[in-house]
This record gives sequence, C-alpha cells and structure tokens, in this order.
Amino acid sequence: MEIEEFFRMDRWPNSYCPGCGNGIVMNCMHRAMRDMVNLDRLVMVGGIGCSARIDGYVFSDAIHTTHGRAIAFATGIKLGNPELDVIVIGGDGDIGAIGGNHLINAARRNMDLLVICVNNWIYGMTGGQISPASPHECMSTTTPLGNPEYSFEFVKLVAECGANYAARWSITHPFQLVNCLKTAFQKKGFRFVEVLSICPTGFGRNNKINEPAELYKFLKEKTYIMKDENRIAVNLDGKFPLGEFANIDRESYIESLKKIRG
Amino acid sequence: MHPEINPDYCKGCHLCIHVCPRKVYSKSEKISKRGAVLPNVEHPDKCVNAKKKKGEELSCELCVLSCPDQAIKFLED
Ligand SMILES: Cc1ncc(C[n+]2csc(CCOP(=O)(O)OP(=O)(O)O)c2C)c(N)n1
Ligand code: SF4
Repeated sequence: MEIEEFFRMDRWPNSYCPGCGNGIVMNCMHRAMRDMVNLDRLVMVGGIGCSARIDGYVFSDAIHTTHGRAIAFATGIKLGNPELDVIVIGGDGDIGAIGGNHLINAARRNMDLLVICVNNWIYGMTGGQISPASPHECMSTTTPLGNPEYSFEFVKLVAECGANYAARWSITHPFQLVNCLKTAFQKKGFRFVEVLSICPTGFGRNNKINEPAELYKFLKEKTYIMKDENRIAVNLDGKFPLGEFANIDRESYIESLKKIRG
Repeated sequence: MHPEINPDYCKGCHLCIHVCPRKVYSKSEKISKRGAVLPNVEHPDKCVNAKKKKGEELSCELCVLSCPDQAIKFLED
C-alpha cells in the first residue's frame, strides 16, 4: 500500500511544526503496516495532544477522544467488535500522565490493543510544560530552573504489569522501530511501543537546542541499544535503553473472557 | 533512482541533510511558496540507490523515513 493510500494526503502538509518527530513516527507506521493492515478493519484512537492527532491522518475509522481517555475508549471498541484491529496513539502526557491509570489497568488485563506512545518528553500542544516522562534537570515552561523530578519509564511499568509486548525505540532508529511495530501489530494482548521523539517547539526551544537536526543528534546521544541486564534497572544516568522490555504470550483479555463465558 | 523533494510538503527542517550518510542533500537558498528554506538534492549520484531501476528494491531510504513531512520520494531517472 502506497503512503497516499495509508494517509490522507488531501490534508497535507500535516499540521506539525518543522522537524516534529510525529511525522517520522507516521512514516514508520506506514512502512510497518502497509503489507498487513486492512484499513476497513482498523480503528485509530487518539486522545488530545499533537501525537494524538495522527489518528485523523490515517485512512481508517478514527476517533478523537478526551484527554487521557484513549485507552478506555479503545477498550470499549475492541470489546464491542473483537474483529477490529484497534490502535491507540498519543503523547507521553496523554497516555502516561492523565491516562496513566488506564495504561496500568489495560496492561494488567492484557487488553488486546496496540498502544503507540510518542514520548517527546514534554507537553507539546500546550506549550512545553513538563510531563512525568521529562528527563531530570531538563528545562520547560513550568521548570525554568530545571526539572527536579526523575522520569517515569512507561515501558518498564507496562512490562511489569504483565503486558505481552513492551518496547522502546526512537525516531533516530527508524528501521528498528519499523520492525518493532510489525511485531507488535501481529501479536495479541496488550502491546506497548514507546517512541522517543523530538518536539523542537516545546522541548528544543526551552532547552536552547534550536535546530531540529541538533535536537535529533541530542536524542540519539541520549539513547543506546540495551543488553538484557538494562531491562529493569532504573535509569538515573539520563541515558535511555532501547529494545524489547517484554515479549511474551500470556492469555489476552479477549481469550480469557471467551474461556470464562464459554 | 534519485530522491526528490516535494516543495509543497517540505517545511525546511533539514533533517534529510543531517541523516543522509552520503551527503546527498545540502542547504540551498530556495524558498518555497510557504516560506520554507528548501534543501537541495545536490549529489543524487552519490545516493546508494542511484543505479537502481524502477521495481528494484531500494536500500537505505533513511531520508524517506526521517522526513517528518512525507516530502521525499524516489523517482526514476
Ligand atoms: C482534561 C484536559 N486537561 C488538559 C488539557 C490540555 N491539554 C491539551 S494537550 C495536553 C498535553 C499533551 O501532551 P502530550 O500528550 O505529551 O502530547 P504532545 O502534544 O506532546 O504530542 C494538555 C495538558 C485538555 N485538553 N483536557
Ligand atoms: S508542538 Fe512539538 S509535538 Fe506539537 S507539532 Fe510542534 S514540534 Fe510537534
């Protein structure tokens, strides 16, 4: 499937700022799914935020929900019609901050959903406030002296809750991200893909990294491909391990429901 | 095959210049209708796909995947 059949190019150029990582995530989604997705059976669910708008660009059914509630709406859609492929897309704020509780419980249930969390370390759409995923000491509109908190690592949380798949990649590793999305798309149960991304407007400007290419380089230097021992270790050195944090085949929620109901 | 930039989609972020390992792209003075400073496909012959024909599988394509605006396509020579 060509990109014009996957994305609504009648809405191009897309609404993102120059150099925004969301567009790279879109390319990788297309590359990963073009051979296996059936757009008639796909539902994209987004909450609120720049990344959450990706749902509106895909040539499938899409629902734009309230902030943080995308996983809850998606759960309802999947239970209503288990034949559908349901993909949730949103930012670190949408999925991990206001939507954090839905994330935890969907992972615990092993709900049959693919969640793509575009983590640009900031609330992009509302002007660059910190999110729970912002790195320690980073600058933002709400932390002008630097972030005193340490960041939340959603992939580790989701893996510990019992999700079938949890992986983190970055827009600076697009080929690995494509493969990861392919794997995640084909599995059952709860699948969570965190994509580290860049927001030149919200994060870059506040941290005096003014060019998208410079921010891209900065992100690449902040990440490394992990070995197994890094899976669960708490990240205090400010470097983000990339790779699979969980890849299991636990009974999914729909399977478990069928078993109980008979 | 060589890469080409769609001036209507490009917003001038210049990530293509940054990611291309073969330095195919360069900065230019060209300004698009929307006011973006367009990159230039200065050395299409340096691209790893330069000698490929239509239908042949392309390699690399880092610029295509890394363009946030879906502005890069490979065209036949
Ligand atoms: C209930 C509610 N609270 C707050 C907001 C304001 N708001 C809109 S987007 C957003 C944060 C989005 O950040 P993130 O999910 O990280 O996405 P990004 O824009 O960075 O892609 C917030 C707080 C809202 N729309 N609804
Ligand atoms: S504010 Fe940030 S996340 Fe939103 S479109 Fe601009 S660069 Fe992208």
